[in-house]
Amino acid sequence: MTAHLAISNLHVTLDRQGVAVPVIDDLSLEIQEGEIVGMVGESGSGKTMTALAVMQLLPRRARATGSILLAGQELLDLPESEMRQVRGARVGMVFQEPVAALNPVFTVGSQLLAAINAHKDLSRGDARARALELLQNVGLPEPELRLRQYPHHLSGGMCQRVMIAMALASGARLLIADEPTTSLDVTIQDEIVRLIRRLAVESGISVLFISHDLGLVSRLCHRVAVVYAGQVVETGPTRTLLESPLHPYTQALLRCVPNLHEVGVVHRGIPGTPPLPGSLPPGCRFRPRCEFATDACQAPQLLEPMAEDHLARCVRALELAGRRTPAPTYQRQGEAS
Amino acid sequence: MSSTSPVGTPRAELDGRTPADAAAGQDSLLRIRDLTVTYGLRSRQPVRAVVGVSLDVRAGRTLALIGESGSGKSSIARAVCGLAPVESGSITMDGHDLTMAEDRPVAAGQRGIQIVFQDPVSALDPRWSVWRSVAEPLMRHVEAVDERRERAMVLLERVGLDRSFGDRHPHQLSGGQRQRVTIARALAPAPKLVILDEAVSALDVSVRNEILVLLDELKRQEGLTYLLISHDMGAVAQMATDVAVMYLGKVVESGEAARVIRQPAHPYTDALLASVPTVSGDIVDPTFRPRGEIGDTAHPPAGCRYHPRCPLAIERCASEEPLMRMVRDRLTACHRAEETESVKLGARS
Repeated sequence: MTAHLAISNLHVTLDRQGVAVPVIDDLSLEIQEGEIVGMVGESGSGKTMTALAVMQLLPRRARATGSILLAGQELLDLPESEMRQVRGARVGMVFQEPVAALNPVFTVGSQLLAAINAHKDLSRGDARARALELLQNVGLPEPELRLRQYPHHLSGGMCQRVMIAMALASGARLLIADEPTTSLDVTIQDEIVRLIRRLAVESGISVLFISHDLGLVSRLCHRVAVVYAGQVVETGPTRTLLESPLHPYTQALLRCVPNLHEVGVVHRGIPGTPPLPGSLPPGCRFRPRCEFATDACQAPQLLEPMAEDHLARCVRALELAGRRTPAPTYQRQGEAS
Repeated sequence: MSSTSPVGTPRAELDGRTPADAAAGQDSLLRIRDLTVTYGLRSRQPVRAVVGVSLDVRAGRTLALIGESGSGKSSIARAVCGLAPVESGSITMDGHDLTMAEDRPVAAGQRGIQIVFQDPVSALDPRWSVWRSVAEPLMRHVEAVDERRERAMVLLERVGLDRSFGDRHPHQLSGGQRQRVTIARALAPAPKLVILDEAVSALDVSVRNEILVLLDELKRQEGLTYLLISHDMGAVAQMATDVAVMYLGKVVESGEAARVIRQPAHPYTDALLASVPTVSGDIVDPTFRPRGEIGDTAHPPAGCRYHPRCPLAIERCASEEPLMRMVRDRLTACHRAEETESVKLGARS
């Protein structure tokens, strides 16, 4: 079975005063029909750049090489005129700030109708019926009223539902969600995550879900790719990754996920900051922040299969997998939990 | 009725102090009584963002205010700093009333209250060097520039930044480093109470936890008390010693963090905590999934403000407003609080 989206050996460089600075390095990722794949990493790890590469919306000074196949069609050498037929009609995208993504001076209805009419020529009545159907499908109460309202009448969660409706308005089979719940309350975040999962199950659309929150991703995604400094450092089915994380970075990210059973225990984060593009350390890019780094880590690391369907980019992965390190926690003084 | 007058019988056999003890307020550093924060008081449609809230922040503790956007938690923080209009009620810091002061923000600063905001980018002047920003609160008290600069450098070291950061500008710093700078600035006037208004919410998880460790160390070293405003339950579980849960301008549950987080009594607290993504791998179904979204502060529902969303709501909830009372070692405002635990167990089995 061929993947719905297959990114292979994607390299993206940004031109900085004549120097090509790599921001994505040899990234490969596959998403099957109806599959939700999560991409997790810190700010600046290249998550959004990957999404923009799929949409061919990279900044002008960026150059992408490799291959991005959407249902077997190569997107990287598609001319802009044909790419327009892909955006919206075949790939929909939602962003972090739903309120900012909507135009405040137009009604929700007119913006949704514009999205519907962008790729189809429907009569007024048909387009309106389609708009109502879309709003119902994303679980927005009182769709008739919403069409007449302006974005400021809607809450952040409602705006994100409208954005998802717009992204799917023209029948896109791939949804790219770039931190779609970051600015929302946890209760609303939960609703949006359920909505995305329902859409994937009911209509079989594929989803690339980008987030810095491993907890959130594990709630939603079938598979997870952990990215660090432009490289995938570990990838596998969600459960495998959670139960036996191999890369020290994945392990560290897991420690940062809230644990409501341990009230009063402050978990250490990851010391230091991710390297900036253009000043990457030689060898393993995580080495300066890694508690397990040895001399062997000074050589460039390869993303290699460690178990069935489980890849990691760490020379010590299997050696460290055996001994699960207790999370370095930090008990608050005077509090026995 | 204030949130600190329990109607039920407080259980005396608890280890330590009950929230009712705290209500006596002898050792509370910050006392808030029947606070109502109203925006547009003279307009046709005043919005009561906070209604009759009473809270105590005891010295050396960390009280976390949690709730969705629109719950009023930030309005309380702003009212304490003198930045939000107080319609009625009192805010007392160390025995001094802050609501009657002529210049409320100045009074708050003089009584030892400082605040750290969510966005460290907009909180720092981009044209100023880091040390100048940190030393700004010292302008009135320390005349010599060299001494101000030296004090700023010491503060930077205390928040884990090298002295060399003092001469840099905000754009040369990462988000976590900027937040360390705003924390250093908050510490400059030697405060007693630091309000952390979503102070770690904008940071990456890995960086966030490093800041939490720093805040906890500073709390001990400097003898600080925190009022933590956050929608990030992970940060709350790690930092808070006490929790107050807010919904549409009112406190619905308050007590010791471990008790409230482990065994919520109010259906809203349960729903809020169950929405937090953990790494269980599956979507955990909260027993009390709320319906719809938070209501409109300008038009709060009658009876219990949460009843339109509450799956446990009965007729009484729509007509009679529940009062704060003692249930299972914490204060909560819910007619059915005694049943939540058994309903939950029933739903699981």
